[in-house]
Amino acid sequence: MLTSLPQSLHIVQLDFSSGTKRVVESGTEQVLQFYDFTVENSESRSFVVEQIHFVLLISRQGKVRLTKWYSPYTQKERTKVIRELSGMILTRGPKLCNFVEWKGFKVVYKRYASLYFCMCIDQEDNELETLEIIHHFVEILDRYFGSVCELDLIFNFHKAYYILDEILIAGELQESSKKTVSRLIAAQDSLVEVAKEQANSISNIIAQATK
Amino acid sequence: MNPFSSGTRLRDMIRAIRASKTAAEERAVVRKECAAIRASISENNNEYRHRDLAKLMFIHMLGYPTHFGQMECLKLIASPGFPEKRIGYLGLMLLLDERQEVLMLVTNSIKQDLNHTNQYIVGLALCALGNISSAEMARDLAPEVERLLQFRDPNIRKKAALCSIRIIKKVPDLAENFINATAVLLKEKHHGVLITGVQLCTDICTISPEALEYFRKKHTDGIVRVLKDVANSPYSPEYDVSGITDPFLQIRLLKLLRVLGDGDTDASDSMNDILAQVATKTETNKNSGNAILYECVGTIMAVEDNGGLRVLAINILGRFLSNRDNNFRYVALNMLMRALAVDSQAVQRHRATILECVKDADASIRKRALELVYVLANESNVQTLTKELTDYLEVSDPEFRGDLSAKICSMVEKFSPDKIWYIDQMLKVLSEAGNYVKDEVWYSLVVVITNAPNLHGYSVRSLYKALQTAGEQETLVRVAVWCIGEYGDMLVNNTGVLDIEEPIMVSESDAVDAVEIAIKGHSLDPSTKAMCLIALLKLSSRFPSSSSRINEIIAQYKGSLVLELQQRAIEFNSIIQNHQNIRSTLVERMPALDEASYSGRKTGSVPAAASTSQGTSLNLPNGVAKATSPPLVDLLDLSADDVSTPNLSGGDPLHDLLGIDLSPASLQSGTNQAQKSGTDVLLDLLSIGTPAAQNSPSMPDMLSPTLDKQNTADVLDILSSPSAPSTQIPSAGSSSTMDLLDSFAPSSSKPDGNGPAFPSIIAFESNTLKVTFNFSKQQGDPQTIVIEAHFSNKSSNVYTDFIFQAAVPKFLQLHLEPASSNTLPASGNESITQKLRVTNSQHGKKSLVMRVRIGYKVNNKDVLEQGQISNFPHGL
Repeated sequence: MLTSLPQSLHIVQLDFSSGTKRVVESGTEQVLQFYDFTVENSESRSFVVEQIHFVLLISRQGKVRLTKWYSPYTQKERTKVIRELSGMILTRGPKLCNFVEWKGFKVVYKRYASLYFCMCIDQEDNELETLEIIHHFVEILDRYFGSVCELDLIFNFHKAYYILDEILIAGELQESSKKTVSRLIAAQDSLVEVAKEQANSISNIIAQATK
Repeated sequence: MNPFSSGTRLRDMIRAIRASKTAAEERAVVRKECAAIRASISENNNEYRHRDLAKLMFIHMLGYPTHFGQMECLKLIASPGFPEKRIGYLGLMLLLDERQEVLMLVTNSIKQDLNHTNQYIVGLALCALGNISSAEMARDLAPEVERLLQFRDPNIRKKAALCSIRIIKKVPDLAENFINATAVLLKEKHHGVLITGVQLCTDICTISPEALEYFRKKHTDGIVRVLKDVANSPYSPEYDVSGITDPFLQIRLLKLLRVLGDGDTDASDSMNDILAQVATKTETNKNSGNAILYECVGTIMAVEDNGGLRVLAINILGRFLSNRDNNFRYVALNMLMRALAVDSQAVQRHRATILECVKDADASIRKRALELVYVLANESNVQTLTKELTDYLEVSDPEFRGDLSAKICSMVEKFSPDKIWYIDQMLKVLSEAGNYVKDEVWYSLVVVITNAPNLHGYSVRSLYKALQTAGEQETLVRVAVWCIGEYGDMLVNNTGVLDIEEPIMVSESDAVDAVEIAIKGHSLDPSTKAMCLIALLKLSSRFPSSSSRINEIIAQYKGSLVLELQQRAIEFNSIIQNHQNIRSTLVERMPALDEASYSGRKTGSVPAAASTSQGTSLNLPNGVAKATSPPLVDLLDLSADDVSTPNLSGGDPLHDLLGIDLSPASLQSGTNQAQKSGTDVLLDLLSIGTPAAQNSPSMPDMLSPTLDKQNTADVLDILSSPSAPSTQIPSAGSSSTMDLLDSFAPSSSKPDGNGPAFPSIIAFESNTLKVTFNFSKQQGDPQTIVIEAHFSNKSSNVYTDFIFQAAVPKFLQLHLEPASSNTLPASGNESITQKLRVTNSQHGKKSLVMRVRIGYKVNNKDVLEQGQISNFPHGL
């Protein structure tokens, strides 16, 4: 009667069970890397206050023209983010939607001539509005530079930052009037001009006095 | 001499960098510039300082290190003039972030500038504070910012409002201080101030429940009125965006209404009219109008139920969904996901359109649509949905097939009306995308097939047919080969033919051919080939006439470079040649696999899997990763994790292996020959097919780690003594067999008892939580440490959604097993336990270190604690 024991079919069963055992492992294992910021867990933030996390301007060749980070990213992470996103965004064809999902966030992008304007927002934020914010920024740049082109933004990158700082603070929209932004920038530019002239005249006086 | 024109100007540097033809050339230019800037910094040259910083910012954007310029920002900020401060603050925001300690040095400068008489300088300071403030700075400067909320110039008020948002995000306790000032901002007429005030109000309400209650009671009507005014305002060129007045303000007001209306009927009622007005009257030709509509739909879905409004909202989404612009379709899919929780019937109406979106050319839309289809599936529509999706699977992009097939499989599994339909669908998926599906999918298919005895014949025949056309799909091959091995006889004899089947004629050699083609396939994984070998062994018993041919096929793998294959080939070859008498029992059909325990374990693993980042858990090596461990240990399944995991059959494989020996021995009636052959099998298995007497010296090494030393002494004597010929074993009689078994049983039942003991530690302790670690080690595997973590609650509140996460340096490998629970009762009454397995690849050189993060909810508020553990016992 003991011969009816299912002898030794476990050679096979063993094999299969070790296979299924791996299922369990692969479902439960958490292999986390030290200091690796990619361990994203949306629940780890204690409350979700929507904001823009960063703004990127990337040329079609993948060159960075402007970066602004409103959430803390280390230098290493920033490089990684830029690399990943330019890989994703620059390869997307025309007429596709302007949103890509990325690590639990959304990146809204829009191409203007040779430049891609990208803003990273939260999952639940309003993508269509972010597109309007991008356009708002571009229109103000356009007014300031007079039909802006990539070269303007390269040689006057600091001006582009000053303008952005009048539009966004802490990843939130600051001003919806293009006129107001232009007026504020012009006022500050003239402050700088006045200071420059003063410095020039002083140095001229010194130069003449020491002739 | 003009100080602004000497040296290289910023413009010239940018030109030189742009003129560089190679990366090396660019680096050279940058290096030269950096050297000049460093020199200028060490000379403490005031005239060029702000130009140096501008250059550094450009260099920083190119990705070069610029830390040496950080102090220059501080000096510029501290200088009196506006131009210097302007560039200094810009540099500060660009080159530093909130985690640098240098930032603390600037707190005082910012404080002075916040009190400056020049409002533009105040503006600069506010902007910098808003963008990079740390928690400490936020706490220090909050009173200044609060005061500036009442500044005479509106442009400062709006900056102060956004700065306040940053402050309360960093230090939520401060939120209540801002309530009164915010209430004043909500009455502003200036759009910039109003926009920022509304945002501040939204964020305060999200953070502080008391503030939410206050604004809900006192300000809901006011906000509704503001929205009404903006929405009805006549054309105003300053705020017009393609025909809509200030969509940004409207959207922010709608967001605030969402927060106020969520969970409060009165507040929701008071905003119904304006929501209906916005939903119906907003212009839909342009993106700006649709952005408002989209926000409005979101608010309608979130506020308390009003049937009419929701119908309106779903209709708007329907219009979006049929729009030609991909952006609108994308956001519609996104919002329908949220709408599903509110009104699934209404979403179901758009099922056909959503299904079309799964086939879209745009990957973002496809992904959204697929997730939506997945949650839309139920018992009644699963058949049509699955058909559509599997049909699409044939033509879909390769990179999309993984996601698509995973969703189809889990849909089919969840809602299949019967097993035959399930098997059919899975077969289709495996034939189309077998190379993309995850292992879980085919494991569960095998479990289902073994549990449907009346479908065994049908399954094996369908798989055989599928194998002829889709032999390159790895997972299909695996399932097919496994089933041919198990049910090969049913394939050939056409057992249990169903009415719906087309009859096929398969000869024994056809079946063997199928497996042979599979094992000889070049693209297949070694673990698939290992399965083929088992199938062949089984077929050799099912088809005695093909036995010699099978043996030839198997023999070809005796020289395989893959250890797993070589070992199997040698063992199976020996079984076929020398052990005809036991072969048929050896390769009997598998019993039905326990469905309940399989699905139980699968679901048990879900919470942990959900908390990991996607992907990490799925990329684990599977298949023959184990071939690198000693094969004998693998076969006997003695490694630590194997013992701690319950076996599928419930029985310990070790006992069963030994059972071969046990039955003839205890029968006693068996002839000498029977007993000998039984022993031989055992020895064969243990010694990889060579006679025991020759190989025995190596055996104690393999066995001793798991054997209890005393008990086994006599067995090992017999086995290891080189002089003991195998004929002596029968004379030792049943007692040796019993000893062998006795010694195995305790060692496998409590594997943890063998390791050296380590003291427990308190790994982490805060006011609210205590974590202790108990350690154990597997003897013979000093690198692996099993940690049992106990979490106990020191507070009087229950913790829910308890999640423990740990991170280790690269030389360690960490495996977390599921926790015993995710709810932690109050006051340390009970604790949660969770097992961690850590493998230290640098055992003896480096000691353990671990970072932990513990998240849970107390009274629905999220709490996050983290810490570093470095007090592990020495020598662990």
